[in-house]
Amino acid sequence: MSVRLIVDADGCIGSGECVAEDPQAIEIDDSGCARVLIGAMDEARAQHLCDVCPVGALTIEH
Amino acid sequence: MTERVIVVGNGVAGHSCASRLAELGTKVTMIGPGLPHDRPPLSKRALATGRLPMLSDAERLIAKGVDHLDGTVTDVDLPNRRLTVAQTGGGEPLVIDAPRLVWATGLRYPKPPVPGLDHLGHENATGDGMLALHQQIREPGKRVVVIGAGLIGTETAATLGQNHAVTLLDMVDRPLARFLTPVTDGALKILNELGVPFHGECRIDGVERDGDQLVVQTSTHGSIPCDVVVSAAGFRSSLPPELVEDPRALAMPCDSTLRVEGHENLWAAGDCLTFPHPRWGRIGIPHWDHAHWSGRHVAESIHGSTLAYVRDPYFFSDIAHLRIQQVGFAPAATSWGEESGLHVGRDADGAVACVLFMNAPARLKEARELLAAA
Repeated sequence: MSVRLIVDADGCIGSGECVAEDPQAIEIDDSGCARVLIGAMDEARAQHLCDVCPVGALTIEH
Repeated sequence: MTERVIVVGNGVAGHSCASRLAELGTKVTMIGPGLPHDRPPLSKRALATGRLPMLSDAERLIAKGVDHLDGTVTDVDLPNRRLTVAQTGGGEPLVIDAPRLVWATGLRYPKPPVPGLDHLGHENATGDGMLALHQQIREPGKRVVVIGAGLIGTETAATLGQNHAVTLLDMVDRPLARFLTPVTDGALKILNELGVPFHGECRIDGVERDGDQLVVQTSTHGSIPCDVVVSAAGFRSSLPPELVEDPRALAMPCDSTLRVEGHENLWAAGDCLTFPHPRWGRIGIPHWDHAHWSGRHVAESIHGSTLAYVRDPYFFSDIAHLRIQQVGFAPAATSWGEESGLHVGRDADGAVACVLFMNAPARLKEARELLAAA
């Protein structure tokens, strides 16, 4: 199932763990905040990115 | 596991530890002034927006099962395991039992003893300091002097330099002087692009008020008139004398489970500990990543885990649009070279000891793998 990945910009601390895991799906923008690069992705892929975020700043929107 | 754990500190390490303890089913009270927030609040967005980087709110803490005592520990009776807590909202100090105690109060960032700086200068190392500073720089075009070109000062100068006329001062000759040359070169380039002059080897004599402006007096770079002065120089221990004999000690030595050596039922998390790393020996890591993971590790140790804490140092920083990331232990590197776009430091045996990379966040995993292979 395809889902959207949402970044909580106030929660993101820019650790870069998500980008290290999946640079095709997410990047760090000029403000040091994660930014999702693709509109929809497989739920397992999105869940993995949520799991590696140390501050829970990534969530899934169905 | 029903005996309550008291966690002193509500920054990244304390919050991380308390949250994990609650997840594991342990009763936990976290003590700290205000709701848990990142400190120093280095996020560029925090200073730009004036919003503290909160780690949680009251509702989420309750949902997690973390009791929060809004206050500051003013006295530690270690033999009797009692803490005295001054409550933020006032009232009589509380005396609470702490049979199992985690200390996670990080570092302090006092203003240096420059005449006038204490009452005329702002700081960007605490939540209250950041909020007060933000009030002064809400309108663009302010003249700002930042004193101290370490991580906090350089990040602050680069952030403010996008909307204000900023001057960065330090007594050493380069910004981020304790970091590797590519980092200091990169920071200087960014500061130049932003029009932020860096005055190195600067001797600051004092800060004075002159009518409606301030003046930073130096004996090396003359008088620098400005609207706002930001102090970002140096750090000190936050540890109370009851926990360390040497007042200059920044951290408590811990064993591999992060229990404070020589004490039962006392652990440390974050900046205020050193631990025996299996490769680097006894080290401390004053950065966000270690604060987070050491806090979780302490929770696991309290819950009975005997696993050693082995996290490699990792720091990241954003100097405007320059993203700096480093994994490994730079002091162990005896030679450096560029390898496929990564700055790789190798130890005396030729093994990878540290990897530095800039504006390449996608290479974090690769850098860690290089280090792990060593």
